[in-house]
Amino acid sequence: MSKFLKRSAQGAQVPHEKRTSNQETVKMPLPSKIVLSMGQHIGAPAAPQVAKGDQVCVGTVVGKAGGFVSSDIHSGVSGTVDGIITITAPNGAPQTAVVIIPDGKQTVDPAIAPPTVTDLKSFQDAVRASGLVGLGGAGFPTAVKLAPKNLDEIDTLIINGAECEPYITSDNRCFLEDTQFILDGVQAVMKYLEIPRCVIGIEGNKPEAIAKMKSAAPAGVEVKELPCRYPQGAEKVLIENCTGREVPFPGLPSDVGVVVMNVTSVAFVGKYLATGMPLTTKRLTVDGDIIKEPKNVEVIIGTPVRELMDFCGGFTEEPGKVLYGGPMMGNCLASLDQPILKNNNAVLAFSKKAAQLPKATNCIHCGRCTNACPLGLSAKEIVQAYNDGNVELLIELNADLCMSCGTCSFVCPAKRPLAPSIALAKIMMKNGGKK
Amino acid sequence: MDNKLIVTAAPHITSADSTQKIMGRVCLALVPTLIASVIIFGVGSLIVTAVTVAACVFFEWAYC
Repeated sequence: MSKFLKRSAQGAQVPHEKRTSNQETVKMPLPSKIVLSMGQHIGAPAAPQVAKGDQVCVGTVVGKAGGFVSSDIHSGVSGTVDGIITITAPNGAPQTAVVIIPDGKQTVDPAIAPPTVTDLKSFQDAVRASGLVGLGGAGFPTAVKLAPKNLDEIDTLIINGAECEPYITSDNRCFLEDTQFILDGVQAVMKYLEIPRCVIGIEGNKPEAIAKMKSAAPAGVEVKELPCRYPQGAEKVLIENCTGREVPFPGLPSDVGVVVMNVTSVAFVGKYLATGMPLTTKRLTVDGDIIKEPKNVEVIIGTPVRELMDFCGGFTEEPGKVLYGGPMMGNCLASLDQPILKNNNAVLAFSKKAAQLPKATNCIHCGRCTNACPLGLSAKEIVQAYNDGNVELLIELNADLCMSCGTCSFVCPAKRPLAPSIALAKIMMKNGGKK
Repeated sequence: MDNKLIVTAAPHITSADSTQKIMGRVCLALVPTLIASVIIFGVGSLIVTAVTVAACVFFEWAYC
């Protein structure tokens, strides 16, 4: 009854647009070159380990992790290093990248072999060596996530299969096509981290995935059907829906005894333990209103987006916006020459008409943004405080708790850009009051 | 061939609802009240309503 009357943390009903949901993943042939960004993860960028003219094989380390919270970068092709260049990262900053021209042979690096895992330390080392980062989109180095300080307090592993963004269906395909790898990965994480219980959260718009996981799941692994309300895939929302626990602020999931992993990430762990091949390919959804042949594609990381677009039939008209990720939280590409990154799970292309957002009008104080915010923040008050430059009020309103999910902007009837303003407010808090 | 792509901050979609639609629903909700007004106070209430609406629309256009 109380849930029915609850007027806060409602989230939003976003369009599903899961048109590629039932299509088998297609493997894309070798691109003309791959561009491997050294910063495809949260944390310090990797340092290039190769120079122009070097020969590399599939799985060769071309970038070494730049610290503890960082990740190795591996080549997905065998070929010659064409050079070290500077590209633009999705956030607009410059980023070093290694360009490799494939020779077509796809020779596997002789050092590649299934890792020897006997205990927690060797498991963590193996995950680190695989170059795995959060494949749900955040790109957090998984080896760091699987080494929480309070490991003995962790009692639940949550697998994030919500996939709440419109258009994206790559996690759904992972459930249906990589079922055994998912279970192998879950079993490995539960075994080495000594976690007794696992909950796999899947949104209700994926009935085949729910049915398949329910029938395949062993004891200790349960499947939870989630409501189809954005942002079900947000870590804190997912934890509350699957376990009833609320992550304190400031805090991490490990503070409530939980480790959350995306389903594609855990499937990769299962695959890596069996094959030893590090993270070099990615399944992602290509869709949008101007893509000729929307589909789920297995693409080599570093493939230029332009070539991926051509593989999907190209555009039916001139593109307005091309996004990495979904329409709620995705980043716009400035150029089609930018490459596919480890943490991309979709590339969406929209027409100029669809790319135009309605003009913002005055706030009518309707309160929809405050009702919708999954973290209980008051978007309109934060934006007002930001416009006034009032940092004390921003701190009081917990503006730095905002995860930029975009639900507030989505529900606003006045079409005000709340989420970007709150992002600016967070920067203002960091700079101590200067805009 | 290389046309400029639009780059804006997320989110890139908004809900179908808008301020106009909300206010439209408000006006609709006030129609029974207007009918009751006419019944209780007579046709004069319609004239009052018309003058008020015209004044509001004019001054909002002029000043906002």
